[in-house]
Amino acid sequence: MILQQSTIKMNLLNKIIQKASPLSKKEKSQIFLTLLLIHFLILILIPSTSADVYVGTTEGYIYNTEGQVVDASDVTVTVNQCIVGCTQSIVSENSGYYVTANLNLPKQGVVTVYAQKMTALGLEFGQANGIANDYQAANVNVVICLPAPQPSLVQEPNTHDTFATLEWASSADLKGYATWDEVRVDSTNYPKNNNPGSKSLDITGLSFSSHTWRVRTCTNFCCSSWVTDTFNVGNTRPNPPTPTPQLDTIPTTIDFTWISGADEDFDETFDEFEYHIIEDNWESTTNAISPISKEVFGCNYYEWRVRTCEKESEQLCSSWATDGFIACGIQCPACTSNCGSGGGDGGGGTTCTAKTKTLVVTNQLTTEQEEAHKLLISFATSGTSDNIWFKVNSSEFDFSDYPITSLIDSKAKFELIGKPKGKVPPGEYNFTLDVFEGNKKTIEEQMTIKVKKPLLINVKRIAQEMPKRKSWWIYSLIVIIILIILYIYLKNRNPSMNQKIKGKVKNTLKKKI
Amino acid sequence: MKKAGIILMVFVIIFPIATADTGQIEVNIFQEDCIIDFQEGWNLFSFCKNLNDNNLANVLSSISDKYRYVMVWDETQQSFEIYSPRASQNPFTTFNDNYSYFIYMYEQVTLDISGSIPPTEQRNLPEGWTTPAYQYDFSTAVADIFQNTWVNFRYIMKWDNINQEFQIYSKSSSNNPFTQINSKEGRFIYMYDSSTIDY
Repeated sequence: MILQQSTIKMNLLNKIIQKASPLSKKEKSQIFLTLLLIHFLILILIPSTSADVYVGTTEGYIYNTEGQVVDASDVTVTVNQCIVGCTQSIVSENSGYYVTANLNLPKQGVVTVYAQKMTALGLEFGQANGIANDYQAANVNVVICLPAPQPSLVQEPNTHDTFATLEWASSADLKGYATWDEVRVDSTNYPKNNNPGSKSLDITGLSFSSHTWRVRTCTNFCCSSWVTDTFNVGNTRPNPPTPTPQLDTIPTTIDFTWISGADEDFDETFDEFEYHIIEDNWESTTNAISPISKEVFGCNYYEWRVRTCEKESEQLCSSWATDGFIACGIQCPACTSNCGSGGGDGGGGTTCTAKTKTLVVTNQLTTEQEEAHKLLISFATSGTSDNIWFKVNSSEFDFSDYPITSLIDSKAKFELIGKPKGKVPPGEYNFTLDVFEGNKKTIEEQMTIKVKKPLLINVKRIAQEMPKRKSWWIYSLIVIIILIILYIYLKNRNPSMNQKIKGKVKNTLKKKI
Repeated sequence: MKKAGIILMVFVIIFPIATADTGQIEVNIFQEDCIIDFQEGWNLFSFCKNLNDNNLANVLSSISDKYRYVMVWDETQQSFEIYSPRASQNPFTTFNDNYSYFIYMYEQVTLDISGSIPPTEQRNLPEGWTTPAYQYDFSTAVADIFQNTWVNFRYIMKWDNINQEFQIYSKSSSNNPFTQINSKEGRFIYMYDSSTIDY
């Protein structure tokens, strides 16, 4: 009905607009949209005075579980999938009969009838569905039922265990009907559990997550509402192990030691150990037991790490606990003043604290055109050293020597920047990094530079030449502009100049002819 | 009983002259006007006369600016057809005085129907809902109307103008909201099977 009213109003609007002929198409559309908006606002804001006429009906009888008709029960009839005219409420007669009209119940529409009555034992209720016939009439009988008392649950505590014993107690039905309990853990139903009393159910294989379990007591006619409890099965990662820091050293056999991380859930754990030369692949040891011995060699920066993992549960692992050190092969220098004479039961001998020097060079592997080449240098020494020089010997690159007059905490970290000496075609070029202490070379490191694109000009040189070229062009431009201005000025000052020039040209041509 | 109920009989008795042996009784029969009261909103009515002119616009000409819609129940489709005076095309444009009609009024008005007194009539009621007119000016009990077709009868509904909703009479109910059908009232009747009723 409302839809039809709207259609009629819309037609009226169109007619009004059509009469307004002087208006442009755009203006018409604006007016139409405005009126349309007002129209819908009116429809929304002003309640319709028209009532709707629905001829749908539903009738039936209300019974209790003893098969007796129930009078004076509250009956609510609801049409499914309905927007207006969907619900009617009535009271059943002495015969248990009810009938209601004015339902927006279509042919073959589904209707739900709910009935309830408060009796001496409690609220009895029930509902049933029916389908309307081709005349929009449905017949639905409803059996109302007194549910058995709700069971009482023993709250399940949160746990780390993947098994649990769920406990509850159920009561007898007030009307004396046989009962059973239905148990559901998450979405799994467990076998019905007959008769009232205290009961338990063992559940295994619980996942590490939140779990909800519910119990209700049923008779042949109806069930109590569910009683619900939620508990959590949790698991935490082990704590990370505590590694013993490894000092920088010369190539030797090293014992890596650590203390395993503790697991707060007391799960059984194992450790994983990994070590590598930096930028190489990790070498792994599972079920590692501290200490683990490894040979270190060459002159490299080593990293090692350990973590603790669960053997069972979710096999979670802690984060890695990482340590790094430098192992570099340097000849033990001659005993310094630290050297001293040993004495005692072991007989004579010389103890010596060697000065250990470590050098880590991170070489920029490739060099693009118009780029300088960088060497990142990390240098450390166990002794005290002054007057240290870093020198790069390369045919293709020009690195300045880098002096260090004093070390901070016996360590230095810096960059050496090399510039191409000239045209350097793509390829691999060897160079040597030497470290001098005083006049003595203590370290010599062979390295390679890969040039990807031809290096033509020194970076800084390019940067300096560019402004010169720009200024030359600007200067030339200014001179040309001045000459043009001068020419125009002279031309305007002496208008006969052109004629004079033309005359001279003619005379010259005549003479030549 | 039926005939007697159709008209209001006013007996004007001229008493016999006391001195004469014979007297004279003059009986004048006046037919009551058929005036229908409509309330604001929807009204379900039936005509109390056989219409002289069945044209809908003519019948409603005296209240032409006071009604919005007229609806008739389509027994075949089991749904309403609607007439709107504003519509350029309508599914029906005439009244059939054998049926009940819904009319939507903007305000309370009365409609004077001119026509002839209907004779004794039968109504054929198909299975499902139907809306036969009841054209007499006296009331009849529902049980009397359906006494011969009680098995097939299921519901009869009247329209409550005040609450704007149907009142339903069910043969299964012992607590029906009404027990009689009255003059000028329209009605919906639900039959389990096709039947014929006599008024």
